[in-house]
Amino acid sequence: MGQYLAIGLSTKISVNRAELEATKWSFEYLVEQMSGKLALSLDNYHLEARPDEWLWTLRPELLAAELIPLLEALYPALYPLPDPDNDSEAVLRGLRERDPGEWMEWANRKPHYLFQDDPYGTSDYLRADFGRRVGIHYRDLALSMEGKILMEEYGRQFRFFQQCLAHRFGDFALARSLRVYITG
Amino acid sequence: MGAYLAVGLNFEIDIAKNDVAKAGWSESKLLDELEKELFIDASNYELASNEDSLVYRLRTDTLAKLLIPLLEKVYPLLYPRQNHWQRVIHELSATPPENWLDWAEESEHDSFYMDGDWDEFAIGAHPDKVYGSLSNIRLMMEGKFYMEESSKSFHFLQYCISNSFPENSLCRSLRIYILG
Repeated sequence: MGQYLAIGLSTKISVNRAELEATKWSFEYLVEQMSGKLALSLDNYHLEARPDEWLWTLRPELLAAELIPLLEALYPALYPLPDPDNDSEAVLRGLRERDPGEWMEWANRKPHYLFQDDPYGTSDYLRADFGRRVGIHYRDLALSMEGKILMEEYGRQFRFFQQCLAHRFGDFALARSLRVYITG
Repeated sequence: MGAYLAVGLNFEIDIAKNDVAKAGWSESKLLDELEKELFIDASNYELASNEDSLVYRLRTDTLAKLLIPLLEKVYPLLYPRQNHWQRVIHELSATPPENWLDWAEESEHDSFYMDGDWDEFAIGAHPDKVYGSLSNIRLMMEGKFYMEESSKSFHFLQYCISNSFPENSLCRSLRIYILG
């Protein structure tokens, strides 16, 4: 039990349509707020208009092209010292052995501590008029977890950390989908 | 009461002189270790005191040249509104750089505030570890914050923050630390 500080890749981002309609915001204004206030790089995602939600899914071609090289650059920085939790070589081997189309299903089975589908990450909320708010919900591919953590307020700092990650690994468009979040 | 997570700029490193002697480190070895473990650019610091402890402080000419350009990049990423930090830039611009640290000590701005030495570290290998503390200017804090184990995540985030703006070497003095 408890919550953890996680670093991961946002694979899906969703917004409830009824919640958005209640704010009277246009879809374009929502996207402007998500790109501006939350610094989300929505260009990395394929947008789908579902009956009950707007759903952004990480582009499979981007994942196929950049996931392995990004992890090859990122894991050594996450684990610079010998560490029993570091199974990054096994993750990279597992990815190379599989077709990219199978990666997310593999992550869903939570094969490694450093590579697991994570539906429990915290959401962001954009404030609208009259106390209304729009929830931005994520599904992540967790690459690191540490804790336990208890933090009452964290939005601005975590966003700063995410942008520093995107700068540091700026050779990869996929780095703009990295997220620092609380999970569990 | 309680602890907060802070982002700040290190301006002074205070190191236990006895530990350095016990580890048998030269000054050059010490600076190499500080660069490796804290990600700082040691050439931005100068030895300010060599009495009870070794005190390295950011050079005034480095601060004069790099602080405002760095803050102009970092503040917009930390704060959604300019009114949180624009006065800091304005007042720094109107103050001689040699007085900036004194000004931070008297500052009424949450976004530029002398925090002192809350941030402690140890470098080197057991049993000859070298202990020290970092004095930082806080640029932002959020919380309350509690975390049982944070070393790996913080080390990684520190690495990314320090390498975010490679064109400005003062970026390597940015810190994340727990306050309180």
